[in-house]
Amino acid sequence: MTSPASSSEVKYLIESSEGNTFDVSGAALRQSNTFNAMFLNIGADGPIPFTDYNEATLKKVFEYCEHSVNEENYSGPKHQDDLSKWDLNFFNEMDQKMFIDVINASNFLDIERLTSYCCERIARMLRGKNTQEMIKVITLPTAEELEAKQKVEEKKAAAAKKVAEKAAETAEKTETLEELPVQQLVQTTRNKLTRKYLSFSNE
Amino acid sequence: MSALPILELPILVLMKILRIIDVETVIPISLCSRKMYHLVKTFRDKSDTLRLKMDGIDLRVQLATPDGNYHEVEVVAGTSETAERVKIDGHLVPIDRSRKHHGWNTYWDDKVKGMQSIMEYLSDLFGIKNVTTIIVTRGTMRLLDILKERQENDYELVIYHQLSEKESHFILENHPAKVLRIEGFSHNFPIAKHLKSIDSLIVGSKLSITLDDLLDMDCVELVLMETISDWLEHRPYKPR
Repeated sequence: MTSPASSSEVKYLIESSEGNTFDVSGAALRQSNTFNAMFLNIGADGPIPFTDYNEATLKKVFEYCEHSVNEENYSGPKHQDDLSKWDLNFFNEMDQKMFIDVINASNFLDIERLTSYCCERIARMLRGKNTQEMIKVITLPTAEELEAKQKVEEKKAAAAKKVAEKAAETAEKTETLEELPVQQLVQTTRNKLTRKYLSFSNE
Repeated sequence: MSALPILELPILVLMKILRIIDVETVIPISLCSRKMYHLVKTFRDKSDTLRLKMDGIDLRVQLATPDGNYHEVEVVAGTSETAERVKIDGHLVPIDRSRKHHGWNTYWDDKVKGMQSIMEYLSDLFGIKNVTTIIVTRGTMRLLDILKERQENDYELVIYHQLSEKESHFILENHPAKVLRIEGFSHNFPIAKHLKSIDSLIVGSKLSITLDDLLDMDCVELVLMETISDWLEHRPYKPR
């Protein structure tokens, strides 16, 4: 069913990145501001493509939407103790990759309640940790890693500089040979030879 | 769930996370990297009116939230072998969680420099323009010069520790704060001789000042604690 509808009985077809389609109720889908802005009034001709996200992620997101259909409008962060058992289970049974995918999908679909709960969960995970522990959790490079990276980059830059200098030198030589008039070329060569002779005799 | 690469999340989500996390968590997260510092600074909600207080007695910088909670970063003299090291205001400093209070201990060779660095770091991170209150002792009077340079006399100066007459003179002449809360001057110290006008003068219960001194001063708000009030009851204060 893909017609514009206001009834919660209406089902919409959602297409995932794998090309699979599945049903979602209109009431659940209307929690997505992205859907509301794009399809609510004009309807969708065929499945609605949310093809940046896989089926498992989308199903998880809409599972949440279906569950919270009858809940009041979102009104700010909830304390951990205020979360229902269902909410806790919903988050606990996700692995890290799924959790990240759900946040991304929820953010794209602009589902305020779910996005906020995910953010609160991350905030709770960070609470009580020191800087080193946080670096591990949010997988930032440590000071040593940054230093090593900087050293590698410096080495690379130095090597690139050497190559550039060599190339410039070669180009300069070629240019000199090509551009100088014969007489001047003879003079330059003579000077170079004289300098070489002098340095040789000095040694 | 062990690792969460939050920097790979959409910017709107990251913004939301950084706005939700409490002040106590914001401090260590801002110390993770320069990038995190700038993200916290940019995305943190500026509508929360945080107050910054420098306590020269207990050597700590306190952040007071609108709900009345205090988050502290303490300055401890010396160093710690076990604490992790972070960069605060350009200094590599050991830091660990305080067991005494909700906050952090930082270890410095120069305590005043430590107080200054933490104050600068926190005020920049949370976008707090001015330090609201400063408590000084004989050993931390240098902090007043630092404040004078950054915000002139726009702060509340608290003196609990006993200061000599010379030090009291020096403070009133060089650092006439808008709000002065005193307890540590010598009895009947002629405040008005050095301080002709002040927004608020709060005189502690252990300190006595003369009535003439009070009358000589142009003071918008005057708060006299118990002892002085008792004393005034016997010698009523009559406005001119």
